[in-house]
Amino acid sequence: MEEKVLEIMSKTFNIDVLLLSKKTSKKDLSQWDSMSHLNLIIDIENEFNISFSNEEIVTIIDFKSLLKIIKNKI
Amino acid sequence: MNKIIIPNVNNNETEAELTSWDVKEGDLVKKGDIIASLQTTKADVDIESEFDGYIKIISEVNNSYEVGTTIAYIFEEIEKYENFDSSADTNNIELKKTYTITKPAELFIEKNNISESEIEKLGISLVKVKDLEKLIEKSDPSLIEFDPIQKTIATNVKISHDQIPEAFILKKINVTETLKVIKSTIDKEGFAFDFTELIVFCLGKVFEKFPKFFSKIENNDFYKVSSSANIGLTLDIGKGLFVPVISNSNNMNLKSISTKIMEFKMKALRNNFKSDDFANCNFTVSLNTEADTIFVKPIIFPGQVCILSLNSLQKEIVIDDGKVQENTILMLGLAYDHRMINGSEANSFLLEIKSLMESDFNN
Repeated sequence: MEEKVLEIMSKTFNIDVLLLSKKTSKKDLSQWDSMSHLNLIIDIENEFNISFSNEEIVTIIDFKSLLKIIKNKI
Repeated sequence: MNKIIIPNVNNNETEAELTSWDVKEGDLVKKGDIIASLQTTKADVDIESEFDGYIKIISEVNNSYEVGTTIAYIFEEIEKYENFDSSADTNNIELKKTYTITKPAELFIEKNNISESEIEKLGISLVKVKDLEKLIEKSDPSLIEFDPIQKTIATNVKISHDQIPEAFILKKINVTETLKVIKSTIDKEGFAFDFTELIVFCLGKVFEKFPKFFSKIENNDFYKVSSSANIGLTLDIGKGLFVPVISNSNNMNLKSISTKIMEFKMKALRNNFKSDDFANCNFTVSLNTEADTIFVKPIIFPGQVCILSLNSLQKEIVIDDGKVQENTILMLGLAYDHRMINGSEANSFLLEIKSLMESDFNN
């Protein structure tokens, strides 16, 4: 699942997957802006057939927090 | 020589529009042939020839003619048809010219250079702007009408320009340290936000000190101070412009404001706003944070007193005490109604926001 999430992030942010890691965070990645954040949410929801609440979406601040929420929903 | 005249189709109507000729000039027609079509406000009517002979057409399609007007002649012999001079005939038709033009229509005609013959072709007794607009569409099919939503926006812009004596102040704020606080707060508190959420939070904080800035204008001569800061955000994420409102932001913390704004962004993306999301706005923030946008001077929404322009971050190199330093700069602009707010008050307002942004805002 981790690889799949990284792959989606790579496509959404339009950057090489090698530039992403489990330590990737929103504040350190310029491509992860407020607009691409929304696109990431939609892409993850579609891929895993899950739905995020608004409260959950604002707490997604890095790869780790994103993965944690996805795992709780699957 | 026999005449073809406009028949009396309906006693309540005195004229009809000639919509088509079903024969060509000089054709040999027979009694009973359909030679033309008319249209009144009530019906479409075919005209049959009552005679055999060669037809001389003396009227034009799309014109309106009074009942009894001659629109063509039928000649039994070809020689008489060829020798006929229609200008010598005293019964020759004359276009109806009795119409009234409304004052706005007059201005429209002048502006769009519409000729008298084009107006006559409308065949109506009272000419209004709406009728003339159709004429323009007809005359030039390449013309594209403004989008109705854009027209509504334009109306508000015009009202704003006409009614609000607006002034504007622009502050340059060094947010280098604020950026560090934002990053550390995100790490510490575990929720995402940026300057949009922060500015709404700061506006909520200054509400008590500057309630006048959050007033509502009534009847263009009065204002009413609101009991809460209801901040509208100009949100455009590629699905059209929305201005959802964070109500009661003066009683919200940064996380709840961030969550509310996230809700609006998702609603904009999924196009599922409700009317309540746009209600009771008394202060608007114009988001112009696209990269390289230095600043945008926004238009005050009619009924409100202010609009704050939040622009993109810019880098600036400065020399401080002999050392080269890179700062991050935010341009913050405030357009305000000069009937209620003076320059010094606007300045104090922005300084208060600046001060809040530079403090540990999460406390």
